[in-house]
Amino acid sequence: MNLSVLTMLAQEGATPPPSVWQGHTAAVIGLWLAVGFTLAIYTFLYKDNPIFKFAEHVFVGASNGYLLWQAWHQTVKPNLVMPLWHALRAAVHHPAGPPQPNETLWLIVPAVLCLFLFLRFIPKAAWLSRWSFAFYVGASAGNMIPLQVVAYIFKPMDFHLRYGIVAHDADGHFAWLGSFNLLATLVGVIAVLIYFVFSIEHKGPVKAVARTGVIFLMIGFGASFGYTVMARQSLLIGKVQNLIDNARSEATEDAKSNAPPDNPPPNPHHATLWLLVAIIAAVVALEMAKKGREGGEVPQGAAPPQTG
Amino acid sequence: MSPELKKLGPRWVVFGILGLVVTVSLLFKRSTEFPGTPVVKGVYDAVEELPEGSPILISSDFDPGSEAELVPMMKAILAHCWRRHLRVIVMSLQSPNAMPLAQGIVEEAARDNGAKEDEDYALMNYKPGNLAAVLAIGQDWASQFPESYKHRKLADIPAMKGITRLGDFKYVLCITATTSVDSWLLGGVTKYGIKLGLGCTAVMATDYYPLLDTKQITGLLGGLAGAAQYESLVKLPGKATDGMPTQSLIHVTIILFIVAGNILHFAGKRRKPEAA
Amino acid sequence: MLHLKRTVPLAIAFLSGILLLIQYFVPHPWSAKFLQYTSDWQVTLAYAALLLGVGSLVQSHVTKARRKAPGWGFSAVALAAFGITVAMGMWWSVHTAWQSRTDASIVTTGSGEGSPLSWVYNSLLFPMGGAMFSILGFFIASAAFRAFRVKSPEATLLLLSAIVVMLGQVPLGAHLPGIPQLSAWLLSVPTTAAKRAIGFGVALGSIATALRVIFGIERAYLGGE
Repeated sequence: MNLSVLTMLAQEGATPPPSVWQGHTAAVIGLWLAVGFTLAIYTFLYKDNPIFKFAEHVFVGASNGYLLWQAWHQTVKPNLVMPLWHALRAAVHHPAGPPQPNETLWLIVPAVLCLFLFLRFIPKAAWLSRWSFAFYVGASAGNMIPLQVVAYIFKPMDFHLRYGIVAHDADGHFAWLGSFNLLATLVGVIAVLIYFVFSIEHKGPVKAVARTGVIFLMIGFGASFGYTVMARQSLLIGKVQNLIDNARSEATEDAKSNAPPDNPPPNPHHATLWLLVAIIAAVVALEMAKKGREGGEVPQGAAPPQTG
Repeated sequence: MSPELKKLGPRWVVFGILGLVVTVSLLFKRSTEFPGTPVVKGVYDAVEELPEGSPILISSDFDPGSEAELVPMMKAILAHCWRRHLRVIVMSLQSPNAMPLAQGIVEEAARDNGAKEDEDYALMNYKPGNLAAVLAIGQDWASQFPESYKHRKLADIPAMKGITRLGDFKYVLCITATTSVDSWLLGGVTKYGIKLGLGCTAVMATDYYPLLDTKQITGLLGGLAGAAQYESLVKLPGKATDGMPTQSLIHVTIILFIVAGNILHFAGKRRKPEAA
Repeated sequence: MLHLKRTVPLAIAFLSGILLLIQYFVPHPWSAKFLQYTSDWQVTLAYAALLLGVGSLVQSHVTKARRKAPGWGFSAVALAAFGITVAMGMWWSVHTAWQSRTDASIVTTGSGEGSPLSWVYNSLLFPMGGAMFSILGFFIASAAFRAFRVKSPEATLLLLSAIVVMLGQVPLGAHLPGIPQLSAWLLSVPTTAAKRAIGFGVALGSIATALRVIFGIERAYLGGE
């Protein structure tokens, strides 16, 4: 790549005109790929298999390639490379334009630290990456300590000390339920904290308090489980809805109304159904081929799942 | 595991029943309104109280993995903001994959609500470093965002008028599938005193309930239920409201799974000593 | 050499940590400037770390493919997907840069609107990202059926709490008397108390770790020799 192109890569402007990647053919291929790869990932429900692994590795490779360009265009170029380049030019009296606040020679420090970080790939110089890690870890620790103390320790303590166990309603009268809730929350916090203190033996009154702590913990974990079920099922609903929409012959009214007026969505032409049949056939064929390789022996049960 | 469970309870049966319940209920779906709870209303009220033209920052900290839960939430919030004529600035602390998703959501919502790019909203970039990124924009916005997501200079974006640092935002909404909310809490609320609202995946919701009574967050939208409640508050039923009947049915199915699992387990256990 | 390899990084961690810790208590413009610069550097380093991760991933797949380790074919698939995506981004960057020579309104970008990477995002990354997480819906149902047992009073409490919250979070629960109120109470009182106490513990733990890092007791980030 010549220098003029590299310089142009750093130039700014506006959005390019519609490209072939926004056209109808690209949208149709994209839709079928999306459905195909979704179903390929769902084959994991049967067991870990080559079709799932293929989709998984395509995902890993493509997302990292994508990340690389996003990183360059969204941060490295506008936050480091260009400001540093402009600052260096200004330093040698060849400014590229009026100076901007972020164009400072101090950027040499993160540039060097980034360089050190990448030296991790060169075994002989890999130790220099420790300097970068040390700065990052040390600075994070220094920033975090006072903020954590205030946010997670002082603030809740302040709440309990300020309100104690007496609540009032809007009219200023004593509120029974509110006061009970304040008391219960305070008791719960203390009991759970005592449960987690393992340096004192849990017997006698300590045992009773720790048991109370366990009750609060169990209710908390139960609530978390309830919410987790909701989260996972919401994702499933979204995905199944998407597969159902793509099992139709035409795009849904919802998709049509959400699309830009000049770029209507493609019709799925029963993509889900066709691809479901194809993927089931592929899984069966792979299983039969595997059995054939194993000399026709019937395997002793399916392989255990890796998750769940 | 009991023999009954082994016979009747292979994961295939569970998967099959669940798949069937989801598919059938989606085919015959009926929207059910889900009234907002005080926890969700905390976010709604905070947006409602903002004066017209105020800047609001939305940190879109999720990628396609949590799209089903958080997209309806973000769309309802955006619609509410624009109805109140607020200037919406969107950024992300989550991953490089988050901003393209945010762009899609914002542009679709903008079309629906007649909002104009750079005037009613502006898209910024993804920033890594979590707490460091929040601290940096707390000192100087332009140090991290010298230009927008679409590479426009800040000076050319009317929506960014008067914004030089994080503290200039009247309200910050973190819509997240990660622990980025901790960075907003530490950097934003604790260090710079911003007002924070939280919309998160249901998995994370219970972890952030303690921030409610201490007023470290104004309200909390947890998962699809939170999104459906917000849709109900803004009277704009969308995908979250549509998904609620299916969600109800799945929850009942899972409760039945738990009950059936226990019955089979204890039935098997009782039979074992008899056989011995 | 040992000083450069060990003492210098420990000194860097100590100085950056202690200075930023002090900075919190010093409301001076210089102190604020120091915070701004160091935070900016951290953000840049975080991006570099992200790219380092990409590099490490590519390196590990290259090694696996070169050694023909078991499953190396899938490593080749990952590398091919990575290579094609990078090439697409490169092509689009050059393409838009070339176009911008004659049309100043065109942005030089690798993954902007209308780019092949935008298509890759919508066709592959978006649907697969969602699908990966959505299969957990099946496994959590399976786990509920196979592992959620009423074996003790504590387990019963956990189960009841889960059921009430599950019902309270859907419109169906609103038709069951008391369930929405009970669910809201479980979340705002016992759950809040438990999570707050856990939060205390986590905060104390991370503060202790941060102090260990600053004072050079915790050295895991230095890696091996």
